Amino acid sequence: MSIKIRIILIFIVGLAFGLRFYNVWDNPPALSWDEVSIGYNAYSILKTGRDEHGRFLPIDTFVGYGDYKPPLAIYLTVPFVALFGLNELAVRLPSVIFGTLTVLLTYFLVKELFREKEISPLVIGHWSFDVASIAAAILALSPWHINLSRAGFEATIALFFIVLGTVLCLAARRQERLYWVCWLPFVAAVYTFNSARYFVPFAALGVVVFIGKQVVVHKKIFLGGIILSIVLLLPILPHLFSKEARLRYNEVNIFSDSSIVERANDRRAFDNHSFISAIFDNRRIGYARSFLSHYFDHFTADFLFIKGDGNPKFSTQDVGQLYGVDLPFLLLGVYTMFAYFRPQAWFLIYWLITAIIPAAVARETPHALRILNSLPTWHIFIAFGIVVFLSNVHKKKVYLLCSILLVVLYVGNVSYYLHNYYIHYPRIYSGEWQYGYKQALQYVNANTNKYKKIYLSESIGRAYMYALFYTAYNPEEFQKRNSSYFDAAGFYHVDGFGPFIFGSALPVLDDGSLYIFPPNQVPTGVKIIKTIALLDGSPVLTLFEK
Amino acid sequence: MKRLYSAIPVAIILFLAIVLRFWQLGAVPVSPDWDEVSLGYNAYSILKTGRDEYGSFLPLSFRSFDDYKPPLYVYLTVPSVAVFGLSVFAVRLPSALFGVLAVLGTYFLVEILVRHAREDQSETVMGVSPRIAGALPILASLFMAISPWHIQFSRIAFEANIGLTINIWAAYFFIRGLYDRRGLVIGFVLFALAFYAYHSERVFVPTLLVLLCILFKKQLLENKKYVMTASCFGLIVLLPLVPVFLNKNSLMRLQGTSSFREQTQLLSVNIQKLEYDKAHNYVLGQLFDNRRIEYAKTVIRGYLIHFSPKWLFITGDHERHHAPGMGLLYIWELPFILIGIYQLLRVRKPTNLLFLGWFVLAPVAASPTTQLPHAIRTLVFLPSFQVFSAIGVLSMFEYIKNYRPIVKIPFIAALVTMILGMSLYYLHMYFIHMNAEYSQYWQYGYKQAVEYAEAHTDEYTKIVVSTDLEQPYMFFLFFSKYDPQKYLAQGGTVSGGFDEKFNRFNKYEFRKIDWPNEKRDGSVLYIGTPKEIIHGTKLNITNLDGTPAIHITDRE
Repeated sequence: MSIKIRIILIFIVGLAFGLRFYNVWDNPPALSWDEVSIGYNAYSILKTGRDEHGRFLPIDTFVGYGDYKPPLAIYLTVPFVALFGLNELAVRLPSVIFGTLTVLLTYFLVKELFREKEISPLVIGHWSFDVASIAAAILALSPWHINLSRAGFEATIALFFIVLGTVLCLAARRQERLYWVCWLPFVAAVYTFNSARYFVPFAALGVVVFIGKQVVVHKKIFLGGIILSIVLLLPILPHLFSKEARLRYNEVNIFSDSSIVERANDRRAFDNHSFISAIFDNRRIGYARSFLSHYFDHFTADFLFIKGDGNPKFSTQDVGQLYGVDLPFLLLGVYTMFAYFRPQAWFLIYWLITAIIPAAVARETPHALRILNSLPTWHIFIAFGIVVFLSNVHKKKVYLLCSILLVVLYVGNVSYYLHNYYIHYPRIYSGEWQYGYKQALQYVNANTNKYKKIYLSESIGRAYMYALFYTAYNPEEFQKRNSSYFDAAGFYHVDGFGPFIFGSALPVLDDGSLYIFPPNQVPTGVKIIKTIALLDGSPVLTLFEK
Repeated sequence: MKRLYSAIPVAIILFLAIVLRFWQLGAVPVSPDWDEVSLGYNAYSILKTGRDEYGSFLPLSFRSFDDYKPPLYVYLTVPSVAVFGLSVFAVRLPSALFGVLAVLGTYFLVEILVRHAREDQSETVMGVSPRIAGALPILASLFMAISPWHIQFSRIAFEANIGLTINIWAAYFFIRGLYDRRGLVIGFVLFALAFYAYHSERVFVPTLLVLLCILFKKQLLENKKYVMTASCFGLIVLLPLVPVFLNKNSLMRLQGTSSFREQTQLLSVNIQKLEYDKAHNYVLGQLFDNRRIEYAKTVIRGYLIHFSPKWLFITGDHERHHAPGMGLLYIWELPFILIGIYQLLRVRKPTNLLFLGWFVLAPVAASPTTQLPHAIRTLVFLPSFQVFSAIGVLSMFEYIKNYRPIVKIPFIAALVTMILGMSLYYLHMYFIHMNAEYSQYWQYGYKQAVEYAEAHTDEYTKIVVSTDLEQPYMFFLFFSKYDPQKYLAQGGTVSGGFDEKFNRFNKYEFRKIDWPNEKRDGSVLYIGTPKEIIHGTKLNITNLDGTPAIHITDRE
């Protein structure tokens, strides 16, 4: 690798890290439910070797709130909690780091994908930029990847493993010993994120087909690697097929939508149950339509280019999952790659298409997080499109003009996104990030001896976990609690621990107790200590005494 | 002999197109919507008096519900109403006829393009090999004949469908004019005529014309004189429309559907952001949170949204624009459309670029409007999708041809079964289920209400019809076939806007029903929505799915 390429790579990775790390402890403006859960479970493992439910070093799943989190992200958070303590930075750093590394891996992915293929790089002055480095740069700037790398989402870590596995598999074509280990990252992805579990088999199949004959040549090592990874998958298999794992799946999947069956039955009755109606008024047609409808939700202008995911946790609502300026290059990239590098194009398109399938069987679509595994294929196509576009401009002056225009457009798009992300996003959407508990609990920490009992409202959700996290409550103590239960839907509830008592309804007021409830629940005549407002100014919690 | 052979498939396709467009025309969809009755009654009025419902003499823009309908459809309906009387069938007939013509036009247009593309002896003709390119026009017109999108709008009286047919024929004659100069004149006249057909056309046709001129620049420059003559003819046809364009009222329609009209809603977040930026002195923010950026995003969104596969293949938009359980295109078309586009892109010849350009330009007119995506405003997409599908299917066929029979035969069998099966599924949904499931969206129940009111008109001093029923005066004029001469003598339509307070004729009065303050003594008949009249003592009309539609009463 030449020194210039190293400089370019260091610059890109530095940029990626900066965009993912800067102010990550303050923006997103608060820790979400899942982030505090990951953080406290990591803390609990660190201190006691057990999770919040007292299970010793679980390797199949963390029960959490009853959402059965995959284990690996929590273990990866342990060292950061050890280093930085229980805070926002520690919880989010794994995601930031793995997100940044994914940008680096994208470079190697493109290198391996187009090995021995001649694509002339773009030359500007003494610097040359190939598809690989441009793809890495595009991913580094991607609002989709930046948003999700800046919060403790398991998906970013799983994506890292999937890209790593793919790079290793492709590299194994030259270094056959890599066949031993190239499947291990895929195994790690299974241990990291739910959607990845559905995607990994597709991805592995795609890679094998792409490698093709090579696999047969090295079949012994190849099989060895497969067997190794299957052995490593064994510990989690019972959980994957367990009732608990299916419970969450059934809640979100489209096949439990009874209206499809009802409509099919109504239509059949209308047709007097004729032979034709048995074929056309079939519920399976309804399911297929529902699946495709959810699948295609991910290919709308709003989602990709205008607004992004409707959930403000995943998007600022001002730019799409991709930038507007990406669109022409994406189309050009897909078309030209099919025209000139068809196996690579099929491989990437296959990756993109199958990565969206797991999200399409769920009801909430489009879903930027569940289809994160489709990255960085979009960005590789875009980079390819940019290279093809500029290398087809032959006049020197026009070439310079186009390059400048391109840079200006990207700078414009990126700064538009960053402006909104840093200036407006935290203010407008702090409520979406469960803002409020932290500020309330900071008051509690400062006045810990003043109150015998602290009543904390569950209005924002998962109050007990925020209390554990922000008071850094001793995990050993917490594991001994007895006032907790799983509700009918399988969700976990804690009534209280230490001085804390959780609930949604306002209890009978007592002297010497602190009450933290939403403003609309505050009775008149109490002594209000403090009101906590969201960053847009609307009050969310009031601290008061009798 | 050769001509005869190629005529047989065309005849079969035409027959299919006719059957699919004329079978039960007037009965499916179950009832006419407000635009259809308005087109019909205005044609009737023109036929009897030479004037429209407002009393304008042979207008070039029909005010109707203040949407200022382009005139062509009404005039086309005049002979149809003259022959068949004022009926739903008669109103829909021009659309069905033009629908069949569009299928035929697709054949001719693709055929002449194939012929044109063959001239330079290249290896591909419109993305397929020259040997099988002859099948292209046949397949394209076949896919047009069975297109759910096209059938939908060929079976109802919508102006857009006339515009679409004119586009196809105008493009055909334009290209024909490159060889046979008279064609050019017909082409330009047709392009000009399209301006009379539908609002979207007024944006689409000029862009299509520019595209054609760029693509066939060379041939046009060789025939400068004829191009000039032809454009003069076109301009002459266009001339009468100039006052309409300059008229403030007819521009209202444009403003009414513009997405910028709802300023406050569109910009509410922006204004809030801008204030924050100003308060904190973010200079860059004042640039980024500018309302012009929001406008630009809205228009770009409006354009791109029409390429949504969900809208095209699965759901469609308004219930009146598609059959239940269907989108606008068949889902099997998706891969073939992509292959077709890919094949066309590979050789950048004018014949290849025509439909690609057509496809890209089609949503332009709709993009700054509201209620998107919109299947009528973008009907001009057709026949590009069907041509792409045809190219895709033929390329696939070419590709699979070299495989062994054990691969080839099941593949082709599966493809044919899929196309056939999905077409039958569509027809099943359209002809069996649509009326029952969508009757409420087709403004069902007026016919029965008018019949009841007409039968009992002598028993009442006045009949009050609620304007919550959406433009009821037109339905009552249409279904009672009220004499236009008498109607105009009573003042004709007074207000076409959506508050239409003052419209009245005969014993009918059209206004809001204020139930507690109405007479309710049996001397006045009230016709209204189930919300206004909870229980109709005289008649309760229900939609075909059992939900209440219109209630009629004369007392408590």
